[in-house]
Amino acid sequence: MLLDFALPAHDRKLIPEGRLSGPMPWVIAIMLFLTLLVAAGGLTLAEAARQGGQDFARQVTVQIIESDPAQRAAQRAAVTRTLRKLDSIAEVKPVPDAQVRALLEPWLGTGVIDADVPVPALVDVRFASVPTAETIEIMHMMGGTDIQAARLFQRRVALDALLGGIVGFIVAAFVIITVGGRFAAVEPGLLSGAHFPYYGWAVLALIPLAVMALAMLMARMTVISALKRML
Amino acid sequence: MDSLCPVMPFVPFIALMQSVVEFDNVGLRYGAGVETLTDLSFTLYPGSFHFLTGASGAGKTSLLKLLYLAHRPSRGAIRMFGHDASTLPRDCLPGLRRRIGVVFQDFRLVPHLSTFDNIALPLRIAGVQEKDLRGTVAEMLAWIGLTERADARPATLSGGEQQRVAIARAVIGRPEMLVADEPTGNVDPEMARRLLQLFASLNKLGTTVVVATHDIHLLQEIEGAQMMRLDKGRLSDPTGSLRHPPRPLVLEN
Ligand SMILES: Nc1ncnc2c1ncn2[C@@H]1O[C@H](COP(=O)(O)OP(=O)(O)OP(=O)(O)O)[C@@H](O)[C@H]1O
Ligand SMILES: [Mg+2]
Repeated sequence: MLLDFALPAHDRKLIPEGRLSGPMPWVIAIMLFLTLLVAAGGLTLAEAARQGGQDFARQVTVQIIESDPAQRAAQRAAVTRTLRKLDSIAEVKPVPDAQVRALLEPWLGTGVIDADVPVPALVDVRFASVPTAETIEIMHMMGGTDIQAARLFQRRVALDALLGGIVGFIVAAFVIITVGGRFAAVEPGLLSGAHFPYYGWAVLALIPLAVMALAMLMARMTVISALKRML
Repeated sequence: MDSLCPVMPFVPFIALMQSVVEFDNVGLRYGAGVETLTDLSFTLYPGSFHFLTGASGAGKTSLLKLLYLAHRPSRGAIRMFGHDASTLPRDCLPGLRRRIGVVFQDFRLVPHLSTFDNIALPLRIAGVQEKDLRGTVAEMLAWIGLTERADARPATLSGGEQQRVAIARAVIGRPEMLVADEPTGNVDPEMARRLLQLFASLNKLGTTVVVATHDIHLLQEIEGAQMMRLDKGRLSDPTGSLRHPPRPLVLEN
């Protein structure tokens, strides 16, 4: 049990030594797995914020696979229009067909792709970046307090962490359900005690929230320590 | 917070013509080199308009940085809005900065915010309610001719458009002092006059304006404007009106 390691040697004897069994290891393993993942993400963010200046280049490319060229063009236009309306998206740029062909040529050979060969339509989407050191400095020069700047950054990081937490939770849930099912099917006798309990889900659901709090705290500390270096 | 920020002792003589800023033998040194600014002593009064000129590298931006509290002086004293800005605790500075509008030489717009949000930033920092700031910001957008670009991000604006946004942001909160670093460098003469008019109308409401510029033609645009000239970090004063101790008739020129 986790408690064993946290107690000094002479105290350990007060509590019966146990094996790693029952649902606890599951919970802890998944907890650590998720925590480490998100902490790594948080550290990366904090480092990027500390180094400052450069924005986070956050871009994805939407791919539309549709063999009818007219349909494809229409869908690309619709996707572009819809995405441009969103606040959290900074830039939407449909990639011209000629450029997509040029991208594919090294793989398929020159001259192989003509107008008849269906190529996917691509749309580059750039997300609005999180506030950076530059933003914080500007706010500072305009009379923003350290707390105001920290809060702004915290909120952004919290949203990111929550999103990461939810994704992590879904992946973990998938693993628990499938892997758990396999174990039960293969050797019912061996690990009969090790099933994932219902209350475990509640514990797991709390983790993204805890991680979000941790990420917010880190963001706050990063911003405030950066600001303390300014007048 | 303001109650914890020490105010200079009350001196009846000074109170007669409360200054906005007083520099007393101020020097600024970056690192270990020679002084970039040396022996600066002058006083700025409410409602005065100043052009700061001087060769490139003379120290104009450095002087403005002292004015908008980005640096503390290496020596001497700066008194601002009745506080000793050279020794004021760090926590007291945001309160003073909110009373100063700044147009930075390199604009410093927030890259991920729209034109509207960039202009609204000082009001939001000051805690103005959304419903109260919409109209003001829209009016300002119209004045600088960028109503159609309200949702655009700075990267998609031209240099001149960015400059107009930077100016709108600096004046939107009706600051008591406006500090502008080469604010008309990227716009055509027509727009330069228009922007200067914005400064002038703010000035008429009592704002002290300091504009650093290479463009001496601007001086003719503002009646009663005074010139401060920096020469290798020293202030020369062609009109003699800025010398310490202050004279109450400065505004009448
Ligand atoms: N952060 C800094 N660290 C060290 N030296 C600096 C710094 N900022 C400015 N200087 C130096 O101080 C001097 C004055 O610079 P400043 O930017 O104040 O000039 P300026 O009059 O605004 O010039 P310009 O007209 O080109 O904008 C220059 O020699 C410059 O190299
Ligand atoms: Mg300069």
